[in-house]
Amino acid sequence: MIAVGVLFVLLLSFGLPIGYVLGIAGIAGLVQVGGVDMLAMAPQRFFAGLDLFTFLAMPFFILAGEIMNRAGITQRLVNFADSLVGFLRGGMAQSNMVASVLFAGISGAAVAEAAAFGNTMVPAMVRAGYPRPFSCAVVVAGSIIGPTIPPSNLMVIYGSMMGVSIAGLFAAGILPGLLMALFCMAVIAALGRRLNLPKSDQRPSLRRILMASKESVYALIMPAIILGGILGGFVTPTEGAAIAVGYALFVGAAIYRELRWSDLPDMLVRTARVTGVVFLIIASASILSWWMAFLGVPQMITTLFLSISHDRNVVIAMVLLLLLVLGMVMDINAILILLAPVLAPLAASVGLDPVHAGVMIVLALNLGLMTPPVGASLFVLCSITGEKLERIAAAMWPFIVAEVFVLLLVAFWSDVTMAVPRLLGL
Amino acid sequence: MRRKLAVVAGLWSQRLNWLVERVCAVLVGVLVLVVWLGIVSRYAVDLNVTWTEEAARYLMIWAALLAVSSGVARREHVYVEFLFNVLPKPAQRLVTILFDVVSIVFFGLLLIYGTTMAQLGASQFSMLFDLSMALPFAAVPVSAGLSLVQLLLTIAARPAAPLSTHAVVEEMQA
Repeated sequence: MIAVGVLFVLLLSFGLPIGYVLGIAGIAGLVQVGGVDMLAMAPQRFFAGLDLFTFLAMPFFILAGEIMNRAGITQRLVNFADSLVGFLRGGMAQSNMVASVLFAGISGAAVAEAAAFGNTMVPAMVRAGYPRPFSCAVVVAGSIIGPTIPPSNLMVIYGSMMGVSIAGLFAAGILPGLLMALFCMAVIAALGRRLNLPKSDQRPSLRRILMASKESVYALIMPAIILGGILGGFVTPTEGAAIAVGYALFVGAAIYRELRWSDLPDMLVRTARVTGVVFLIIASASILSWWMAFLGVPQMITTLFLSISHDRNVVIAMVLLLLLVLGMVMDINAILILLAPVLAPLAASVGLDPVHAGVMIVLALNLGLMTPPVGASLFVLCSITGEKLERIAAAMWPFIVAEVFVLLLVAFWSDVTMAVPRLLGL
Repeated sequence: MRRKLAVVAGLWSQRLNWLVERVCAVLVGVLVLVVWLGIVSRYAVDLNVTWTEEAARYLMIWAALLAVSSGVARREHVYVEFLFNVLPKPAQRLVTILFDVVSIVFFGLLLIYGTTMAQLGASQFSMLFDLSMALPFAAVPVSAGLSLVQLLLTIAARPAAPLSTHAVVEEMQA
């Protein structure tokens, strides 16, 4: 068992793609427990790991995000956000946060948002006189609101694997996501004077808000339709995601008229590619996680945790610490697939609601997208803007502190997550 | 000579990938249509289509797994490069060779045992579709085979096109 662990760490840390590492380690594990005969297990687990209808929501939400960016829906959301909060000091950073919330209601992944906003908002902010590392930090901090507010691909994975209601997880993510945006906006407001952030001369005007909301009304009702359908129990998450694709296509092609037929193949290919990268990780991790289950690793970890303490709060703290540390160095999809079968029963054993535990785990992992040295959103911004990772990281710590604070609220105060699902009767 | 081979390998890698990506696009497009059909049938007019869920699942697996080889060709699979970058040059070369071997073994085993799985699947039938399971299962060996080919082509092409970092992100800027 230790040999497999060492192999895993070595391959991962020296730069073999994580999708391969998980598979190799899993295959090594299979051979170790059952010899060469066990190898037949590898492709079976690889296939079975993907064979879930609920997973379909992932490519569809990715496609919907692609269409939104291409069809000018994203830009209209940004304009609307700007009409609301653009007049504040640091107004562009503030509107970035508000736009993140609006975007989050349609997109399920953080990197798509980080790429879209990094391309448009960062250059605009830099032109307006914002420090570049700060601008990048704002986009990165905002990007993880996307997978916290539903829809969220991590919640789809967690719910599918652990048999927890995806609609319930979605509902439970709303309030934490809004809190994150609020705390980040407070951080921007607090830093505004110190960093001497620009203040635009536009006045807050109801007329402007009305104009912008008229422009973006079709983009704004999209989350309402999708989330309303899923949370209201009218459609499954997969169907909701497919409807999102249809709606985005319709708005982009028929109403905003920015989408052309010739854009379609490219968006489909990119959807397949992004899905392929995530699905290789999921499929390979399924091999490794079968081996872990075979050896009883989940029970071992649970026993270890509970031997340290039976206290609910201490166990929660240990789980969060584990996830935050792993999130700093590893892909979060992989962590989720390997550890969900470990952490879910552990959380249940100290009396946490499965939905509460799920949202807490997803949120802690989302933070892994923005924590150095390995953070997907962080990488996207570095690459797009050419800014140094260390400088973004340095500008980002106030946001990390704010979002960790929200995580702690979520973890230790169950009403923050459970109030909305309870209200909706999920 | 080596350089010429590298250029040719790179070219073929691109061509194969171009084809695979077109197939992926068609599969994702059909996937969307199939799920829409299921929605229409469930909420509007009952078209008596019970197969949409199963078909969608298998289409998704095929599309995503084919795209895995595209990720190999474009070096899009997520990796961490810090420790690699601090290694001295000779050690980097050694690690690269080692990793190439490990990757070949990985996709090779998936290809071999996946083929067996698909062959055995020929005698199993899916629940609703009454489809031979060989068809969905075949996604694993086909994907592994294509990835293996792309892996070999990119290794051969390396002198002409050295390792690019985080191609995922480069693409996203487009």
